[in-house]
Amino acid sequence: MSINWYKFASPASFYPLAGRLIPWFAMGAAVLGIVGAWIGLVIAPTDFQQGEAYRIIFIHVPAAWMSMFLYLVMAFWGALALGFNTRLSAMMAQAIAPTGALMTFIALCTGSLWGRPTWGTYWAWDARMTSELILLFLYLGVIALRNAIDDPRRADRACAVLSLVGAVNVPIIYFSVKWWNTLHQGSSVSLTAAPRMAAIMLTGMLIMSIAAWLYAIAVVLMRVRAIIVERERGSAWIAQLPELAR
Amino acid sequence: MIATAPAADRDPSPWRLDGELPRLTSRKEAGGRTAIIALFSKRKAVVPQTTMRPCMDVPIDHESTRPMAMLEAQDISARRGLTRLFAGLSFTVQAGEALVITGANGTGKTTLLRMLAGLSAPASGTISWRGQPLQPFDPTLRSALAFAGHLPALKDELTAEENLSSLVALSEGDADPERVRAALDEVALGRQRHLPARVLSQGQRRRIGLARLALLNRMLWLLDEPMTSLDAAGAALLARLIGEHVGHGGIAVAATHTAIDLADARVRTLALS
Amino acid sequence: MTDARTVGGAVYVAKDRFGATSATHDVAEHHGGVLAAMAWATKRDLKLAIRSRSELGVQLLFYVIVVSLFPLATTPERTLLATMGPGVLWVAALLASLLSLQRLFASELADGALEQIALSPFPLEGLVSGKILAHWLTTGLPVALLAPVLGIQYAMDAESLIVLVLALLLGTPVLSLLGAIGAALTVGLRAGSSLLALLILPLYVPVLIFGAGAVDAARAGLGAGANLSLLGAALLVSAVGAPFAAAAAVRIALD
Repeated sequence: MSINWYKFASPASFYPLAGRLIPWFAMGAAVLGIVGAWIGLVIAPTDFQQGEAYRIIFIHVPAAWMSMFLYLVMAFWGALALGFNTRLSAMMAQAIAPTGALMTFIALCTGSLWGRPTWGTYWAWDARMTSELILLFLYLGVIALRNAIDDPRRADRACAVLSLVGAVNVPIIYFSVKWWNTLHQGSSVSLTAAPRMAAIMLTGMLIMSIAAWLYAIAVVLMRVRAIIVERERGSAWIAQLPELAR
Repeated sequence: MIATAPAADRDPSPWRLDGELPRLTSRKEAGGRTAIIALFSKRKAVVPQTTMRPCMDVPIDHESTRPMAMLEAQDISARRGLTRLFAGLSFTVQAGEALVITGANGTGKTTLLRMLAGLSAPASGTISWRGQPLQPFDPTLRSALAFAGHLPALKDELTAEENLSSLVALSEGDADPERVRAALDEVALGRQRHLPARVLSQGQRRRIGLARLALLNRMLWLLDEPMTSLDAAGAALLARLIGEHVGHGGIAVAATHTAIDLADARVRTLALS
Repeated sequence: MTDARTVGGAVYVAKDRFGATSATHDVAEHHGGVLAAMAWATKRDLKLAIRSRSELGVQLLFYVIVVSLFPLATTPERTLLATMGPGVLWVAALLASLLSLQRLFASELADGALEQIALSPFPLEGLVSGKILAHWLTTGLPVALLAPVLGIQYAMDAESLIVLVLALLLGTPVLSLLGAIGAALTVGLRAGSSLLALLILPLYVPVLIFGAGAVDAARAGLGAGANLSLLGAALLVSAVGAPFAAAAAVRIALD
């Protein structure tokens, strides 16, 4: 069966499709999240060095991975919006930014909480944590730019350019921060030196990562539906939506 | 609206074209705003076979009686935010014609002009130049265009002469100082040419823009509210420049809510509502 | 570019210097590439900058004041100052660059010149590059040349100062190039300068790290070569890429 993908490039046809997909992704995220949490909290053995406190990596690492992955996805949709001038691509990019920022924030908070019992400090200028902080600033910059521009088309394209410039710079920033950190290694040990991984721990992290990915897809689809309704509100098909009927 | 003296009252112009101008039909868009295209003047004339343009210095070859559509808009629409400014708008402008776009504030005159200049793309429909559909910032159009925007693009710190040279150099690569001075003299700014633009009045700043139009060797003039701040002499100068430009085969599109007295020129009006 | 039109109508048939036919009013030859565009923009912007000299002086003064604030806030103790010195001088250079970036495109938009620049037959990337070059000559270069004088306040020795100047000479053009992208994206917006800072400062981090790191490395005896090479690489990459991004941002802003 060949699907006419271009049909779904219009917000009017994508809206109901997204609505049908959301429950599946949400359920998948919930199921895998419970399984992953079970593995992480109950099944995985106590770590030799760090005790029970290490278990927070089952949230920290998936959140950090998602934060970086979502930025690339956002830049990808931005590139599509610039190249093909499609509204829906820009709306997808607009929907991803807040979730990406949230993932970054979770990664920073959990990383900070992990540092306290393990290394005695809430914040050490570790290479990865510092890069996460800068990534948070990049996300907030995209969100701030979108809020600052009134015209939606100009905002779409400006944010697309900004996220592409950011995406090119993220590896450079990470490399420079790593360089800076290794030079000043001094007394502090890397905060994210994960314990030697038992296979069950890796499995747990993988399952939690997939759960985070499914959660992100579900939330982004929900948000893009809201964005579609807001931005297309002059169209005829919006007025006929059952959820908007009084 | 546009005042033109009846044909019978004037001497026959040397630049006249065969045949009647085609009457354009109006299009209505259901539920949208209506664009009314009114053909304001049409006249018959005879055209010589070859003509020399005094300032262009090139021979012109007239081959048939139907003028070629140089600038064409097909079914274009524009939105500002969620409101639709106009829709289903179609018109053509041929060489040697002036198109005056009228309408109240907020009807989209400036938006339409900026679309014709290639600064933004229409929400739907196509704009074509010389038969080729245009993308925004199309290089061919940029080489053929003189755009006079709402603001005269003058730098306060530069003198009138420096401003004019700079703008002409931006469009043509370099500016011959003699021609720049001559152009300033022609717009009655000869004595003010060493003054910084900061101390010039609004009308004088506008005149520098007129001098720029006269200097540039461009076919398509897009003028946004060209009558702003001009006194009677300035308005007469503007009308003369447009009339000469159009008479020599150029195209002038002006968005204005003030009447421009374009005597002896082929003028059409597009009223946005 | 155009062919001889034989489809009806009044046709201007003129021979340009290449023997092809083109319409009368078209600019027949491609009269300038990127370098000509850069020359136009740099010349004009430098002329404008010289005529508003006081504005430039104020920005340099800002740099001097910020640098002088840090010892007041921390300590005048010489060894600590020597450690802080490169970092403070670099951060102040970043802030001074940010302060002046707003005027790169804002004044052009305000008086309608930005539309003329975008509609010029010159390539927009070239015009933007020229503006960036003029911005660096009036902002980054004076900061780089002034830094050694201020470095004396921070008890830095001669070798560190030389490396600092070299690093600033390589790094401040990158600040202008990346900053121009941000300035073009935020031109005409209400939030203006603070939004520009939020957008650009994360991108400045590598320049800051390698620039200040160069001086630290020289002081530690490790040699500044690696850091300076990385700064040079950043300069080459941004010199090629940033004008395209900034030109795209200008077109988006004019939409």
